[in-house]
Amino acid sequence: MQELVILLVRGIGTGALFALVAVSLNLIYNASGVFNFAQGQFLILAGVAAFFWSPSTIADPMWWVVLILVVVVIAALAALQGALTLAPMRSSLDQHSWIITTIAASIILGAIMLLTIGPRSITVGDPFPTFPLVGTKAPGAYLALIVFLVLVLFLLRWYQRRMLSGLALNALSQDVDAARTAGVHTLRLQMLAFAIAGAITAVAGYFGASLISISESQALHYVIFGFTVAVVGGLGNNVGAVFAGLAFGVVLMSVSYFFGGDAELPATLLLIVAVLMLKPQGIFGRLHARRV
Amino acid sequence: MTTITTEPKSAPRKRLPRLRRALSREALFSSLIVLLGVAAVTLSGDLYWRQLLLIACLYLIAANGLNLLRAQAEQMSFGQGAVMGVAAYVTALATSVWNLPGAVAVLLGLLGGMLAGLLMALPALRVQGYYLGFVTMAAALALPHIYFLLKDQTKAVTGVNVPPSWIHDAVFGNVTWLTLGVVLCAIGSIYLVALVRSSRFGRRLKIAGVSPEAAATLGLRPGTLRLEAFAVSSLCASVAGVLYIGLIQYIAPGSFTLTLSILLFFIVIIGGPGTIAGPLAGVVLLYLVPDGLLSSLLDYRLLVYGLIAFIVMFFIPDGIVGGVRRLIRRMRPHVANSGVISLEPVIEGMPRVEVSASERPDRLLRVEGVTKSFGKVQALSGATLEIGTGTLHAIVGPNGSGKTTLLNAISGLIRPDSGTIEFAGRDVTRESATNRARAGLARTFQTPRVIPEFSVWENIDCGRTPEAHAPIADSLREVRAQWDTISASTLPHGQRRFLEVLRVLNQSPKLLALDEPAAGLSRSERQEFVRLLRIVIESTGATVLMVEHDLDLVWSAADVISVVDGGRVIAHGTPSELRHSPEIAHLFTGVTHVEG
Repeated sequence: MQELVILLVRGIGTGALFALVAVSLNLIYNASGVFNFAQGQFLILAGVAAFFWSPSTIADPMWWVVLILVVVVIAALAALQGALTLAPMRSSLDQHSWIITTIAASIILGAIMLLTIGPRSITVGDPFPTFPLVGTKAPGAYLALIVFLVLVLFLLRWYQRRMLSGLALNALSQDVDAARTAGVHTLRLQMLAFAIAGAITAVAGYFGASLISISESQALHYVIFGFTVAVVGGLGNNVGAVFAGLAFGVVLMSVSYFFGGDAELPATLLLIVAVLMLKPQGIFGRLHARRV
Repeated sequence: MTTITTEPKSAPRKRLPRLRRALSREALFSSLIVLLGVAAVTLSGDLYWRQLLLIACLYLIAANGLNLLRAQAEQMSFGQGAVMGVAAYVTALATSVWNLPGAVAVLLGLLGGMLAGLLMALPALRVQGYYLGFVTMAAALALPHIYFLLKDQTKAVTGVNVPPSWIHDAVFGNVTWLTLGVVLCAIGSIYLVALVRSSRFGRRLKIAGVSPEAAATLGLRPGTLRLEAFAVSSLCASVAGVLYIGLIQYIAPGSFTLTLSILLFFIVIIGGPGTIAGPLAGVVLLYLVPDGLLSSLLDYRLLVYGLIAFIVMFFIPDGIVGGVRRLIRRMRPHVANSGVISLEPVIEGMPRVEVSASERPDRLLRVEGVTKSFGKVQALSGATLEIGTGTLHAIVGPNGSGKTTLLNAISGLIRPDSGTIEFAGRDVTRESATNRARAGLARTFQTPRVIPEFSVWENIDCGRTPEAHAPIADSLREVRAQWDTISASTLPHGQRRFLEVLRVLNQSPKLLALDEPAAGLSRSERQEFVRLLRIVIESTGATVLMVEHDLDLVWSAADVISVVDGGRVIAHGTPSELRHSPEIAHLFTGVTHVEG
């Protein structure tokens, strides 16, 4: 029983992390049609920052200062990466250059990390106080991630319905060309979407640093996990991503528990192949009218 | 306008497609470079460089397959290295662990690689593009873990050693059988790219990749074609994988990581996708130069890959070879073929055999109460329509009235929410667009689905194999040689419509559904076009259904007109019947003056 509860809590906690990555991917996808392969590197980068600079407990005010710095720096990096990704797409007819440029960005960020900290995997302690749960204590990072996920969901919803730039971002997801002719500064907005997504991923990585294996080679794993969650939840659908993320977290944790960590990626592969074969629009999919 | 002289009928078609001239020159050039490179290092006796060059050949083989997948089928894979790995792994296990004879091991390796490649590409049946990029990347990441999950069977902990065999014996001088095999396979893969690019199969891959809808309405199955492209690509990777075992004689789970798959992808993209020499240039730049000449900078290799990819995407998005080619074209004054095609020779060449009216059923298509909504928008609300065989039937109506949606429902590109569609006496409501096309339902699109990299002829001949007795086949054969020299990219917009219509006529359809065929045509082109439609109807008994905004054309050319408004057919009749119909007069205030 206790094992089951621990499995569930750990699953939901890491699931929240995957959901946050998926929500970041969705944000950029809705604004620009791009899936950012480099998003995983931002997660790892935040973890590396937590390792080097953050105090060991959130009671220390410095912890919060570092958090803000990490979020600002990564958001700016993401915006820059967005500008570099989108520039060739505006000039050339090839609308798929983003696949190459985002992978290239991921490789460059990864290579820089490899050159500075090497291929080692870093471990960071949990800065959050543990919380009691059916007779045991669970790491506070899980709770923090879940709370942050809920917060992000509501803030995004409020932002995209009430704020002008949020509404404009919404318009981009419907029709980029129409938004452009209506006088929306598409590039600036798309960079904003990259920045917000970067910030969300940065917080996820900073909060969850104790739960993920922080090494450059893991970055693409988290992109694949995030993409799987986004697809299962329906591309671009944030509410779907949350449910899919939590469920996926539990599934992955169970797979890992019963078959070992080596089974995680093969199980993910099976899942994504199955979903794309049976229900490519995702469980919570949203259908777009098809233009022929 | 170009004039065509009628030539005697050409010889019967050959089985293997002839390589296009430019491609065959490029393939010969690339093969010579491979041959000379390997010959030079073999003669020099430098074992390090020989090994390096032979591995480069393997990467070239795998990259050539990926090039076909990327440029011909417009799909992507980050799993090419993983496929190579599976083929290599199975070969190694079959040789050293299961102790099978060499030929069987090679065969098993090829099969294993192909199987892995097809399994990871299975979603290609349903989805395309970046989805497949993610899935194949997941596969490439998962494979090393799968080897470890099966570590008793795969000897994942120690890896597998393969003892040397006769393939390392010299054939002559210090050329071994293996060297010979690697070079032959590399040259073979170069010619494979040229062959697919020149073949109708290659053209089908292209149209299925560029426009799955257009491919489906030509009777092709885009999903199956995508999977076939993955099969060809995986075959190349498997050959490379099997040869790898001969060359390295050792394999472990870490031998083929995602990095190799990404390297292969970059080799194609940076070298110049869609060109024959591109992957060769990519292998030299991304593998031979860093590993052979700058090996002291190995730590910075990934950083350099990333930066090169950025630079190429910013400045030469079509890759090195593509960029060089563009430069040459700009420097050399190019005598462009006039980018105009005329329907005249095709019309002249069509046989004039009247299909007797009594042989035809009088009704070809029946649409009954079809509804379709997109979210809250009700595009069709009970459209009912009947089209007689051998008529020219026009659908008119204001913008947003549901004309194109109706056409899409008829051709099967959307599935109606309710209602039935009957075609040639058969209920096709639940049939796919592909099956409807195969039953003789063809269509064209508002924006013509023309492939600019292809010649005019290649654009026409990219559907299913046309029946030999297609009425238009003979007259098309007459213009083939000339139209094969005109690049479709030089055609003006209106002419692209001709091209698309000819493409579907080549499939001998029973019903030709055209979405705004006259938009962008000049006055004389319109007359030419209507004449072609008339002749098609007369000589083949086909029926034409067109959605058209040009009311002058509709009123003078159509036999029957249906007026669509608010998602339903509100009026129906011959032009003269409708001219005085009061209920539609307000929709077309400008029509009353049209002369019959």
